Amino acid sequence: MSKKAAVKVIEGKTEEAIVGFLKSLLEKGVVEGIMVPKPLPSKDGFVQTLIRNPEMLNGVAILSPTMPVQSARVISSLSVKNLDKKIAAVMKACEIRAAVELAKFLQVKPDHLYLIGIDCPGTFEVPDYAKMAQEGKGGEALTKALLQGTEKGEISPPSGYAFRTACQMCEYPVPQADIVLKLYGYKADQEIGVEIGDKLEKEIEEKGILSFSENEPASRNEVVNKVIADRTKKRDALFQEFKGIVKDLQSFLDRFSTCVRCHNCMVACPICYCKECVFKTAVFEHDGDQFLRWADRKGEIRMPTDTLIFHLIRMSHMVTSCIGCGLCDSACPSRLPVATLFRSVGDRVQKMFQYVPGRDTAEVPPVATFKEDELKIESAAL
Amino acid sequence: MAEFEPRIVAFLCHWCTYTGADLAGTTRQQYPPNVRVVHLMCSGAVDSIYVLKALIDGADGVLIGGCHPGDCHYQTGNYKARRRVAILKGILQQMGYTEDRVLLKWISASEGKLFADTVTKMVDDLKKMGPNPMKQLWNA
Amino acid sequence: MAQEKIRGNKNSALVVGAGIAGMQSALLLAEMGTKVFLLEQGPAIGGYFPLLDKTFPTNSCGVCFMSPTPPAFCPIYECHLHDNIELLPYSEVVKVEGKEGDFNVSVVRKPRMVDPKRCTLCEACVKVCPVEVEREFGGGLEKRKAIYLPFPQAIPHSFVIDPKTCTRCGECVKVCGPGAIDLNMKEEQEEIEAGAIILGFGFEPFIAQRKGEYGFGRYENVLTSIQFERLLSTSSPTQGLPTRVSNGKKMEKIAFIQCVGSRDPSCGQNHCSTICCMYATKQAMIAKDRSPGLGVTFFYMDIRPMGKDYERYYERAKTEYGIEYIRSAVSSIKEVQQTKNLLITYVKEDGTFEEREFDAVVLSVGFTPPQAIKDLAGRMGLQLNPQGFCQTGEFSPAHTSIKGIFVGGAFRGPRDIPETVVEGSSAAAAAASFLAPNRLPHVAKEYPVEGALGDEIPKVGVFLCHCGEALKKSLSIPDLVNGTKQLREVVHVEEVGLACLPEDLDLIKKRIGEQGLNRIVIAGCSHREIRGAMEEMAKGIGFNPYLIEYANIREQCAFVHEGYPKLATEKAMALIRAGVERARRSQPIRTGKQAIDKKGLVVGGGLAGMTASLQLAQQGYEIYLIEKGKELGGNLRESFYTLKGSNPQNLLNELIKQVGANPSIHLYSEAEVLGFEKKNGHYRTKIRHQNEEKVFDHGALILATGGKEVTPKEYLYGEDSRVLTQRQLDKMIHSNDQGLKDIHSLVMIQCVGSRDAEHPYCSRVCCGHAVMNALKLKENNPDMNIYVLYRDVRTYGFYETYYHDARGKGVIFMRYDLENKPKVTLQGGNLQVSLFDPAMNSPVTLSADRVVLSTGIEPNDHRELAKIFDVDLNPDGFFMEANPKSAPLDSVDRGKFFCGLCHSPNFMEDVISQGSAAAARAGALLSKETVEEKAYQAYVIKRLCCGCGLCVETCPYGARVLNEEEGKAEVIGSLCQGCGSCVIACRNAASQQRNFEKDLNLAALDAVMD
Repeated sequence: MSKKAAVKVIEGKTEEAIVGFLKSLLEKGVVEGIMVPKPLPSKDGFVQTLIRNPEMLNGVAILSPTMPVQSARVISSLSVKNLDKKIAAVMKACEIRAAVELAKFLQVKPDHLYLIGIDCPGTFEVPDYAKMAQEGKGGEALTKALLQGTEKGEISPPSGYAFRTACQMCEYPVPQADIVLKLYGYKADQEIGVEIGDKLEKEIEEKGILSFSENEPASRNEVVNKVIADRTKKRDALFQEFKGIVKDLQSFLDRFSTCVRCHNCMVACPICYCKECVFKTAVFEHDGDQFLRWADRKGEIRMPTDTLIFHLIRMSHMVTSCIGCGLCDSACPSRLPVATLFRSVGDRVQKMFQYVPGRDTAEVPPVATFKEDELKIESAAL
Repeated sequence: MAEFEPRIVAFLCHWCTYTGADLAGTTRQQYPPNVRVVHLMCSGAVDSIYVLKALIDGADGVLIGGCHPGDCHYQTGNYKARRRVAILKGILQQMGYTEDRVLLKWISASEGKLFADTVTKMVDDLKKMGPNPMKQLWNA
Repeated sequence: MAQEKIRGNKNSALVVGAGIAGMQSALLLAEMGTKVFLLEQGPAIGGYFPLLDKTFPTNSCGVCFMSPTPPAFCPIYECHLHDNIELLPYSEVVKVEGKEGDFNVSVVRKPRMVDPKRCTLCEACVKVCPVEVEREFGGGLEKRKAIYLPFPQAIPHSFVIDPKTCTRCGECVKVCGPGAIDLNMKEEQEEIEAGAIILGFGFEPFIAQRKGEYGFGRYENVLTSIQFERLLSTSSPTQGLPTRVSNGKKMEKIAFIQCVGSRDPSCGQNHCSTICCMYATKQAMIAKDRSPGLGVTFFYMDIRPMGKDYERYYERAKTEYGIEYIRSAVSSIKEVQQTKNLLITYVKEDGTFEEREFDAVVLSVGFTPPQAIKDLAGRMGLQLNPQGFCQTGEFSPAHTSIKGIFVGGAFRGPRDIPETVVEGSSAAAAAASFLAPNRLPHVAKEYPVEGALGDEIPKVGVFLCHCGEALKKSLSIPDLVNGTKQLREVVHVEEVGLACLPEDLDLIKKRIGEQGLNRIVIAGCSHREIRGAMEEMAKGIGFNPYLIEYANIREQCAFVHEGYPKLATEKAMALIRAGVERARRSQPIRTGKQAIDKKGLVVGGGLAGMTASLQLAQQGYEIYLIEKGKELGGNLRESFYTLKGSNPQNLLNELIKQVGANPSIHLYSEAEVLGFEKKNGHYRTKIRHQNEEKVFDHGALILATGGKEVTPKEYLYGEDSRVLTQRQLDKMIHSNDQGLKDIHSLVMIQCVGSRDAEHPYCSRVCCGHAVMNALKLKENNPDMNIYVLYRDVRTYGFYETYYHDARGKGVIFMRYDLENKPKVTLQGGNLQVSLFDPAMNSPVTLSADRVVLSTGIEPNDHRELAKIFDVDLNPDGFFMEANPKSAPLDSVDRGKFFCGLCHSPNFMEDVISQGSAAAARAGALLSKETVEEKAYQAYVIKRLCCGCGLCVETCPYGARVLNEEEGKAEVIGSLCQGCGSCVIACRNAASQQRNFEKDLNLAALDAVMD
């Protein structure tokens, strides 16, 4: 069972209080490095930064409202080969869920990693934030507004802006991590909650970093449930809307016809962990006359030929593990609703196996196992 | 216009269904020639790529034949195939493939008649369903 | 008798009867390098097995797992394929001369009148044959011609003429294209020389007419279980739907009557046929699968599902399938005239009568010995038991009364397939041990070295076989030839007549040389038919056989699309295109060979372990025998007599003596297994022995780690010393305990620690054990009142006769239900047993001087061992087999075997069979110098591999490992069976399968789509 604690915030400086806590982790040797988002020098964006010197933690942006890369990919490269020092990483809920999935595929080695999650109010598209920053709507002002919103679960983006679609429909605002920094239900200018998981609770207590108490604002559960309910509603509405737009093959192809086959969605996707995609291998090399035969059969063929099959195959590979971070959407130059597509198929397929991606590393992904007594093929389900 | 003749691609496992299809031949179980067989070692060796590619390239139906549960010559390949097909169907539904164009069927080496009947029924069903919607997009 | 040939030698074996047992013996002996003649009286091998569609307790077929080298086809086909097996179908043994080690057997080969080499199964003959008779296996419901295919998969795969009904009209000869028919073919006599003979004559079903009261033969809707089995087969005329014979309508309500020709001295059948309860239950379940609304009622005396996992099966039948079982005796069956329904009158357990109406009745017929055996046995001097089955010693179950002649399977008495497989194996072990001293070194065939292929551009030669004109009816061969000529990299296309015959094979050989062909496509019959001949030809000229592709335009095209010449030709073209595309991309495969460590390691020195060790040692292998106790013997040490009258202590002493005297057996007692690893198919086991760690390399592992008596937790056991177990009673009887004299009344309670929630299986031996002790006690003191409180009496097979005896001697059997278990109480210092007696329909109280609990058997705690050796346990803690039907003693990882009580509860004679059978399976592996790896192995393109481990996870054979250092997956060639599931688990094609590469499969797909 995890242990609860609270971190006092002095003079309303919430991020400083959290930084103080992170510093103590480094100083007391709980970890030897912390990866945390830091503002770019230009102040119009953020980037994950690996820090070993506690002093360098000053000025980090715990609540960075963008997600330029999926941090799960970053900790994959960090941990997969010969990481023998303890490292903590501050990540968003969806990034942690992606990391859990990657751990199942041995692409994240969790042995020396502590994941620190923070209640997520939502994130903005990277260009949107840059614009916000230029307009003076970013930075501290934004952080303050978001932190105010989390108390009651009523968060509104600066006027003229919206959270990323994936965030609007994300039912996991509260991360499951080794350390969770809790905002929902808290008056964040006075105190925020901390929850320490099994892996660390003993050490944190012994080193006197925190003292545990089960106290928690009475409203927290309610607020969290409200946020989840709001987003679930949004999700269902988006699914419904998507179903209206993509209802058959023709409409699907119409909607995705502007795909430029840049494979950015694949590059951004944390679950697509292959070093080299199958589409770049011999599997999709053909004789020249094969193309001509296809053209004969189909009257004409669009070139390149593998646009549709790319999306479908990618989906068959990762849809059971799709955690809905939506970075594929963000990465798409043609603004295709890739994330909504993957989420709505994912929803159906994951339910089939009662599988919740990103929940627990002990769960086996549906593609890696089977049951003898399931999915009767005589029934309509198959 | 001539009646629509569906094209079926069948991925058959070496030990059971392929042998069952052979038995259909030995026993002269007649079935329509709409099916083209691709021989694989196990139903568990049918990649989603093959099935999707077949559909995209105009197969009106895809049949995957494997050993009955408990009879897989490789212990569990058929169960893996079953999951794969389930996931595929979830994807295809979103694409508007609401009908059963992908059929997974357990047919043993001694079930020649079942193989013939399965193909016959599949051809009938596909005739009712009409061509693979993919083909409407062609300019052929 | 036209001519005489002598074949075979002192090292060869003759297996008579090619049913499950015979095929199993033959396959194992052949695998061990023995030349085997497999003789079958019928025109095709397989015995009764081809009749079966689904088998219990898996409700699948699965008999293919029987092969010693899985994955494999049906054993029928595997026997046909094996280099060391020569089939003698349609043959009979007429005379056996000589003695052990040197038999001369005269065999009559009946004339088939059709040459299997030339017959193309074109069926022209069938169409013109005017003679129609009843089909074998058709149960009288199907017809065939005088020229016929015995069953669709028949091996030899050829038509045959039934000489008894053939009128010699000659019509078939006129229409036979390849000239395969010769009506003047004469019976031939052959002499076979063999060092050992195995008898697998099997059984025959009881003739239901002999029980006239059930109306079989008179009432249309009364069927035998044999007929019903056929009806349920998917290849039956109704495709497996149970329909009434009288009107073809779907059956709605059927009854099974059990023990027809079993447990019935009135028709000379005093034995229990052992498997009818299970096969009938299976038929009922399958029938309900096919026709869910079907009502099924069983009328039975005792239900006897006593094999491994059978009790669960029976429970499933009752609870999941809603099959009704009524304990009763059927007194009459009458037909209702108009409906042809059947009225069954039966006596219930409490003596009252009832009547029920059914629309069909299935008689679960028992089994008799084969009728023809009597004469032959007489001529050979072979001893039969009183029931007419083969007589064997209790402790030498594979040995007949004649030295050098062995037996397995149902010829010893009715038994199920797993036991038959076990006994077929144990007979092979006995024969192999017997033949071993003279065995010649196994000489592999020599082939020329293969030419290098290098990076040559593919030159594909396509040979289109029209199968003796047979394909020309449906296909336009010229169109196919022209079409094929257009294909990329095809340099030669030629039409041939019968590619399987030497003439055409020679032609293909010639073309390979002339044209420099480096890839071949054979378009014609299924690869299953022609691959053997082609590969032999290819190897003979150093052409890698994996560069030959087969386009199946016969079975999967011409034969099945007779009405569509144009479309069929188009399809054939597509199949040829796919063959060419595959061929262009295929690469030569040189299968790796894995050296075998020709040693075995046996864990457990009880009856099973010692038997297995001795058998293997006699076959010539070194054995490490690991025993955790101080002494050998295990449970056998506690056994003093048997129901059949043998002396287990003599056996114990004999075995210990033999183990001690055998220089090939290295015994380590008081030893403990510490670790086990598997490297390239070799095993390495670490043990601690006398405080010293020892490491052994070996090629086979046999686990014989035993079981134990369940310790009772009820019936005052442990509280009152007068409550004891059967084993404790054994000791009293054996030591002639004085206490026995004072016993006037003794109550035995059955199923203590069996068939309950904690042990949901039948322990198989306890009923026999109780009957044995009851008889012993009665023998010493006929006045003793003995009560046996039972749930079902399961004295199967010939044990039934002892049960019958016990009842005759006044032992009282009273039934109880699990819901209403007997209670043992103390009344004024005396033991009292109270129960509800269903026969009296009232409570009964028995006072008892002793209460004896018939305790079940549970496995020793094997969890640790299972983990060490990487094998599975079933929910009851017994080791789990690869297939409960046909590989009952094998683990999935070939090379590990189970036998004895760690596998399942069994009588000593069955444990001996299992021990020898495990030795045979292990011996088949150890006999070779090397094991050839599978051809279509998986491999890894390391550059692409991300080390995600999905392939490792999915591989059922442990053939995939992650190289931790590199973070990449690897394939262990010796373990890979070539299923390709790892290929599919891999997302980016880093994982591939030789000649089934993804691009190759996709090219084939593209080719068939065009």
